[in-house]
Amino acid sequence: MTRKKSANKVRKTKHISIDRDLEKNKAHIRKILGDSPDTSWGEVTLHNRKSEKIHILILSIGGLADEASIHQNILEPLRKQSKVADNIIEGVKEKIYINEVKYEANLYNAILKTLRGNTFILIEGYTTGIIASTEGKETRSIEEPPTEAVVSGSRESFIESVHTNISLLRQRIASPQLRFQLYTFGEYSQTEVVLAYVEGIVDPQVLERVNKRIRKIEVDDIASSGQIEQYLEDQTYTIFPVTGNTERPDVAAAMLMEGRVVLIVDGTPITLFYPSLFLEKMQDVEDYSSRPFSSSVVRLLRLFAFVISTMLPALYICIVNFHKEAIPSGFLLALEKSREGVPLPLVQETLLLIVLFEIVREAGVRMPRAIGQAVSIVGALILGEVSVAAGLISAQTIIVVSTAAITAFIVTPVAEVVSLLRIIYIIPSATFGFYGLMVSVLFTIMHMANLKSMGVYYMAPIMPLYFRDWKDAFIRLPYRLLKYRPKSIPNVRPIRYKRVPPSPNKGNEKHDKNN
Amino acid sequence: MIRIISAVVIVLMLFLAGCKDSVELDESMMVVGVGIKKAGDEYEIAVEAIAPSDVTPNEETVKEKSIILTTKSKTFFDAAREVIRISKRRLFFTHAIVWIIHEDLASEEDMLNFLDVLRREQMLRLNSYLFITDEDPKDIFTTDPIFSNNISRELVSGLESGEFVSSYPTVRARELFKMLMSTMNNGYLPIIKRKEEEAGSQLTQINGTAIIKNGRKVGKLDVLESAGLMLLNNKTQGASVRVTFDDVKGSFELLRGDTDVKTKLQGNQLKVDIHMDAVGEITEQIIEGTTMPIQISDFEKKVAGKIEKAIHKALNKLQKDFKADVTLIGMNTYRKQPKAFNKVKDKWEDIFSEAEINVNVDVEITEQGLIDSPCESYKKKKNRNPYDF
Repeated sequence: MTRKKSANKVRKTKHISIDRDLEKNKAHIRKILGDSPDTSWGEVTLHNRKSEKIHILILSIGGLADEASIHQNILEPLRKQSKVADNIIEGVKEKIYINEVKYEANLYNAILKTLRGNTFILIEGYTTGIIASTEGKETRSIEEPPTEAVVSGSRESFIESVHTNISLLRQRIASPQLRFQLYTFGEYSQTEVVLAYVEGIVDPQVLERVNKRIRKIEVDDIASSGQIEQYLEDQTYTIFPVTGNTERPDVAAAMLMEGRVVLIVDGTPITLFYPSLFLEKMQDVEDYSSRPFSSSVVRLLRLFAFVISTMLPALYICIVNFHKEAIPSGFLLALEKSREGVPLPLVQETLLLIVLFEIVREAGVRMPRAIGQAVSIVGALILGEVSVAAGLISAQTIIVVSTAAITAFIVTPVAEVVSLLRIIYIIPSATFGFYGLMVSVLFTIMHMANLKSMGVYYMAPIMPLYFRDWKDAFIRLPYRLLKYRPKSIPNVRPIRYKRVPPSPNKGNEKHDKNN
Repeated sequence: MIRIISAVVIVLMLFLAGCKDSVELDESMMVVGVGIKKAGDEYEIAVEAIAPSDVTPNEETVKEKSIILTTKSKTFFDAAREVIRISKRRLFFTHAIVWIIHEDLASEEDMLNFLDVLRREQMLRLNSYLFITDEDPKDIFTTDPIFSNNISRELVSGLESGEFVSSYPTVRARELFKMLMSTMNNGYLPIIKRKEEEAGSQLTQINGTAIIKNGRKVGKLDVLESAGLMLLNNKTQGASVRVTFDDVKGSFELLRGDTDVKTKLQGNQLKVDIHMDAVGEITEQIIEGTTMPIQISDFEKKVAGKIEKAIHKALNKLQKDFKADVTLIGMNTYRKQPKAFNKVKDKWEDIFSEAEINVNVDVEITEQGLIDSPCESYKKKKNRNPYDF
């Protein structure tokens, strides 16, 4: 792993030199860290050849550093040692059982590193200290990804620790070509962000673009990957997510192999990848592990669901209020009956229901699980039978809104976009009918065609047209036919495989009867 | 700059459409059927609209009827406007699929004229079905529907499934316009009548065909003649012909029929050869007693004779009584010999009525209908009861 420090980062770091007097250093550290209860101080006394006492101060942060490791690998070997060589700092470095050891002459830097779980060893009479890597903070175990569950496929999920996440990627791409770059962001939060890519596949331009933008980030803290996502985006004012995110190491590895750049942010299991395309939101991991035919159908279904989910309420309003001839004649009576005696105009009724639905959904997501059930019962009752029986809302409107709502759940990556568009489309539809709806749909398409993700067109391979990529866009053809990496994602290694067993149907394979 | 201009243009374009077109469904009245007739020098319009009365439908309650409103005025448009005064709601004719025209109106005024006015006023849609009646159109709407709750819808579903009972014509407004505006200027419409049921309720029935000549109704074909006309005009799907031998009754169902009308115009002399190939099956054959089953070839001849008779009857009426060519004869002559036809165009009705028409029907029976042998044949053999337990 190459550690890159951005220019401004170096400039920002304060320089405090280490004093030869331990007590002075101690006071200095106390001053910087304050009286935090989690700082733990250890002291060891050694003797040099002249039998002079040499005090050694060991600083670590409880909870971040591995206490047992400090005890076994630093304190014990030092205490066993009665006498050390003249060059005490070399001696100490040799004695402790820790591999990753560095010298540090800047007290402030040393403290920053200690705050990341390292142990800082200060020796009396030296202006250089030792940083020993003893990171041992509490992490979650690797579990099944809760947001992207699959039937067949890997059960592993990224966790909050950057280093575990890196190892999860390494397990999948065990090639030296897989590169990681470590950045530290946040003057206060000191969040580690790792940029991963596969050398030889990734397009240098894209990588350069990511690096350029990333270096310009200079903030107090990074709270989540969503924050980084918004700093790096090409367009600020769009409802479409132009950054891909995943919780699954296998997806991230696949993205890397397509020539994308993955960002792992410490403290969140959601990793980001660039560039990300719109059509990918209609795809799922499962598509790649199931048969191409069923996954193609499911993909088309998702696309259909996206259209229905955004446009159904608007279409409903258009048809009922403006274009009554489009109502099927057989349905007219039932529709008219249910509209009769309903107090609100259709538009208000639909909007009310959509807002109610969003409230129930939000409540269902945020509520503690114990209360969650109550929400669903109340939601089902309010939005369901009772409101129809009370003559407040017509049954057809409920069907329309709930169909629109339920179809949004199969396109979860763009669920937020869908619920916004749904409301946006209602307004022109309610004022201008089909015409308004069509104009607003055109505007949406124009806007989407303008979007870019790390300089790559968001609507590729539709706009610009890369017909070859359609093999894995709306539908997915068998792997055998996916010889080339998608052109939509710039890469420098276009061919995905050199050779696969030829298809027997084509007569390429000679059937040996003796076998 | 281009962005600003295009944004302004688009916003301005939005004002072409307007929210004034938005009408809530509970402020509108959806007309499903319209009846028009003449009352003195005024027009009377009767509309059947969906009654959205019952908010919470109760299964126990009787099927509610639709709303029927009538108004009179000098023009159709005024009359339709008058309906709003009664209904207090805006009328929408976009679902008016049935238009019933009274016989008097159809025979006194040029149909093409008043239907065109209605079409241009966006009341008559080109996919609506048209009917002629000799009763008050309002009474047709007040008959009891059997399945749905308005009679117009039921009439239409009857017509749409009626492709298997091709003894009456189904004519949409588009087809009528096409017929009336073609070279012949003649057309036909189905006639609808009420039928009294035993229980006292009234049902509707399609009863023959009205012949329209130069936009006016001139006469009527009965059910058999209507069937003949339909067969003649190549609308043969699913026609059923009943034939009777001495003691064998049987029905024949036409599966595929193809009528070929060949014409030859020489001066004022018109010679027509009508050839029909009919392929079908015996659908029912009841054998009484123990007579031998009939020969298929006999059956075929009998059916052919019956079809020829129906076509002849229809032609006879068209040629002699109405002098109206609503068949393919005129059209085919025009297509084949346009110059010769144009010369005699003005006296075509005379030429048509004097034409020498040969009808030849070939019937082929491919399937014999009933699958099992009749009980009779089992009777002869002992211990072979097909319903043995």
